[in-house]
Amino acid sequence: MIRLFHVYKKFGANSALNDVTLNVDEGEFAFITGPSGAGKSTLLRIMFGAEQPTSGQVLVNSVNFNRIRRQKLDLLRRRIGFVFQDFKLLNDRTVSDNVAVALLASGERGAFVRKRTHQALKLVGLSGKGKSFPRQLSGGEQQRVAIARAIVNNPVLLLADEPTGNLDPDLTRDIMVLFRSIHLRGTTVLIATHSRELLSETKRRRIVLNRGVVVEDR
Amino acid sequence: MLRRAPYFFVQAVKNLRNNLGVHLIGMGTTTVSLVIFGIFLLVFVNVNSWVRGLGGSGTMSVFLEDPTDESQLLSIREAIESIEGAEVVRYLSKEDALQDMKRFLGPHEELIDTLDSNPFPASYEVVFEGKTHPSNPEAVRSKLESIENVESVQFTEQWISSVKGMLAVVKVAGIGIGCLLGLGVLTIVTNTMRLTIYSRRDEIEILKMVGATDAFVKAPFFLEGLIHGSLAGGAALAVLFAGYKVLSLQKETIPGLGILNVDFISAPYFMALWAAGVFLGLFGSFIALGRFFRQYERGETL
Repeated sequence: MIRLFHVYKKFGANSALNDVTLNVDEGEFAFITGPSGAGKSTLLRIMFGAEQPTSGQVLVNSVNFNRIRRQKLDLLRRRIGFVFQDFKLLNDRTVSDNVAVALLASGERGAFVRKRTHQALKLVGLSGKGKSFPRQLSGGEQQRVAIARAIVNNPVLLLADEPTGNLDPDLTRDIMVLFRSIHLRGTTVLIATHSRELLSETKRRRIVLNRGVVVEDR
Repeated sequence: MLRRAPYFFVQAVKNLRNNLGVHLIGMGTTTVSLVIFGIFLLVFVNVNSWVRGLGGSGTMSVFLEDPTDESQLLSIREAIESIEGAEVVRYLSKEDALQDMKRFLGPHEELIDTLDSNPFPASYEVVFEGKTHPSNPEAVRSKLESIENVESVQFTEQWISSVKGMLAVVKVAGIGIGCLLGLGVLTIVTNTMRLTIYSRRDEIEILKMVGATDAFVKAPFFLEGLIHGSLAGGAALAVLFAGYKVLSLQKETIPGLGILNVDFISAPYFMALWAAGVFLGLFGSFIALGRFFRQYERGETL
């Protein structure tokens, strides 16, 4: 699903990633971990095409980001879901509209959008909150809305950047259960986190970054 | 793209509503600028029409000495028409000339009443074959002036050419001021659109994140610019038309305007003025979006 070959990323004189080479297979559920500033978010953003590597090759779902055109990248992103720590919801739109935006941006409309939005909200346990606004929800519920938006297009890959960073331990567990259920539906899931509690509860693969270098992969 | 038009329209209206203050300032400026340009257009079109009406006939005015009796008038007329191609089209008596002046003065016609006697001379209006001036107007003038009881001869073309010169200045000034106003309005509309785009940058980021194409993201903003320009153009035409109506109703009270026919700008100019508003709105959006997306691609905006 994801292939990185000797990826480097520099921001001015600072190196965010140094010679990162890794594979994530289709259907995998893995964590990227490491201390703050290790390069986790940069790595996810490169996998999503939001950042260009300074050098190296990035292939996602068999598409080489170095050779892809802007329009093709837009189409590829419809197959990749992304969840942020700060949710990134539109506060002036209802929960349903926040989820539906991903479908509308993909060119879907009408009854299909309503049906898929309802299904996604049901999956994350928010089927009764469609008409609420994000500010009327708890942090955990807002993150569920963000996850619903990320999965509403049935992505092949779900990337999450510190998705539980703003949540308490109980809500963190709920969200992880949700990610596992999404993974069981066949989606490849990759989560960046520095939470030791989260990692201690799982034996899944973890890719450990430190100062932009993969120091452990098991 | 068309099937998503309702979505784009709703987003554009939301953007307008959420940024109503800046849009009202931008639309107000666009309206005022278009009205100023429209006034130039109105003046140009009307003066041009008056000049064409006068100049097209190639008229010469032959003023007569006082007093002139019927037989003298007849002999002057015969002498005028003996000149090759000349034809008398109108006799304007002293009384007619006085009444013309009264109409010209409008509400100030009582000024005429202060005169002891009628100072205006009687005249003949003369046109030439083919309704154009003779090839040698100075020779014709000499011939006309040599006729007994003729006081002076005036070529309408002389003052028409000076009015045409003024008209050319009005035209150049109108184009110059129009261009400057256009640039000013474009800057304001561009900045208005930049503010609305920046106010929705989170939404743009989310849309790009979920795979929206650039066209999908840009369309509501183009529509917003189009609505902005259309409303400003429409408002400018409404203001201009209201001003024209007031002027038409009051023109009898304005010296010099009473005897003239004042027209509103014709349909093509009307549409062109509105289209100028639409163009400025659209082009402003185009520039603002271009800048935003260039910054977005460099990762500077998010």
